[in-house]
Amino acid sequence: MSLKGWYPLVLARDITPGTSAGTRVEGKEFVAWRDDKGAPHVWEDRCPHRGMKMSFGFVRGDHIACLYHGWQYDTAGQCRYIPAHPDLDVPKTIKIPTFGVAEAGGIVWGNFDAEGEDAAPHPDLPEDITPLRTVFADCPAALLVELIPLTPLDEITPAVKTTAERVIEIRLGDITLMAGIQPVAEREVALHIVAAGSPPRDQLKRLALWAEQLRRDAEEAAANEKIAEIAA
Amino acid sequence: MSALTLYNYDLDENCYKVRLLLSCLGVEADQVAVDVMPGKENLSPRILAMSPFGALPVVRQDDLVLYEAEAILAWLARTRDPQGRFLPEDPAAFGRVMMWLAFSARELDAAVQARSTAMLDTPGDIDALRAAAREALRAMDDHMTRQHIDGFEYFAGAEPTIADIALFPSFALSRDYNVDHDAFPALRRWARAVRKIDGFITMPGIPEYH
Amino acid sequence: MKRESVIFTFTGKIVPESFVAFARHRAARLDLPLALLASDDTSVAVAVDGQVDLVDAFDMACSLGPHDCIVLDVERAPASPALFESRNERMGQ
Repeated sequence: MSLKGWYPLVLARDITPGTSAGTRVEGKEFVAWRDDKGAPHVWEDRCPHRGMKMSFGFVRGDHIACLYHGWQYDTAGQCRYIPAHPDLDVPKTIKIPTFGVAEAGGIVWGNFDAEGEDAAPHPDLPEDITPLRTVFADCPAALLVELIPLTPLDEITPAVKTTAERVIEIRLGDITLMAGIQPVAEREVALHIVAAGSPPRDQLKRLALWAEQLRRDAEEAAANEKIAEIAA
Repeated sequence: MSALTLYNYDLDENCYKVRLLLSCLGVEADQVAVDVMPGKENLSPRILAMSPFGALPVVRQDDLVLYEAEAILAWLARTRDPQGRFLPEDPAAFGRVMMWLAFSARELDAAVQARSTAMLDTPGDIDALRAAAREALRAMDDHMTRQHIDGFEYFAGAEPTIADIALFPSFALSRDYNVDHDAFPALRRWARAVRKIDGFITMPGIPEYH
Repeated sequence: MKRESVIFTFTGKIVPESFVAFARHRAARLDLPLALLASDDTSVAVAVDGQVDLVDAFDMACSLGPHDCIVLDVERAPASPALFESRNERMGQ
């Protein structure tokens, strides 16, 4: 399956400079990392040497190194240094595929379209936000979105509206959330949630608890759906 | 103070909890290597006399013999931590630390078993253990997400305690039982905070970097 | 790093088309120019030119061979630099 358009991958807050995180889109593995200058990068999550996940590796300045044998790559994905062969002028063929990346609305987005140059612009999102958390659920993406109104926040029923591709707005009374929907795999989703403005701490904690309950409700529903499928 | 003996196996994450706290407290111990694999020395009469199921770590000081990593952590914090950093006196904080110690011995034990089954071929239902371990890590990530909202970097508050020491190994070693860190962003941040503790040391399987 | 030009002769049970394609692929991966010198069902001779460590990596990679070939022996001999001279001139080396 080819991946079109922009996919939310991780909350910007959750990859600080010098750190990385593995992620999957429709089952394909990618690594999102941030160099010491703060620029985000999205690459294939595999070292060309022995296939070790680069997301297990470590960031040193503007290079990321594979944990296995320390092969170092620059921000273009080019291998620059192989510790076992320090005098080697590393051939240009040793390179990790890199993808389009953007940061908007407190989320890091990836674009995996082969024709990257003509890619549509990333979602236009408000920047006056407070990151809340990502909900990782064993549940198909579409089902999770359908279930949001069924998880109340205290007495409030959430209202959901799609505002862009893979972007929804969730209203809970006078609280507005924005979320990016990442289809991780067929029955797995990541929902990256931010709050509009700067809600007070106790409200953020209520929202965090609500998000945990959303995950539970979604996984229960997905499990029931699976049982129904098998029974049918 | 008398010499402390630690009966240890380097690959055991429960032993690592004690080694880690000893290092953070700057306390020396005589380490006795117990040949668990392949020797099964932890099931020898000598060890069984101290720990009835052969569980490590065991510490001995004079006539005192303790097993259960969590109990050892609490005893070390009580006796070797003059500033009371790692086990607070304040009742509420103390309660929280004890809750997470119990969690590490109970809910998170699935992770210890999952790792043992995956790496040492110990009999066990790897899928069930892995699923239970993942649920425990999720509960930990949920908690730390809320701790971060409150401005705290550690499980029981602004400072590290034996709760963090007890919970750290199973998260750090999760790849050993096939659970990645990708779905635990709050725990990734917390792990970086644990690495910053003065005296922090690793064990085989936990990288030195950062 | 020091460079060298080497003729490798791989002998064993060989499927020539398969082995040659495999060797070309490995050389390309290491960015080493490759010249095919001879091939039959018992041996393939190729020459490569480049940094010493990459030539060693090529040796290792081809010794394992594709799945339908068994490499029983590998011999190395210095190649005439002339084999790659004009290419190296073009590459500005």
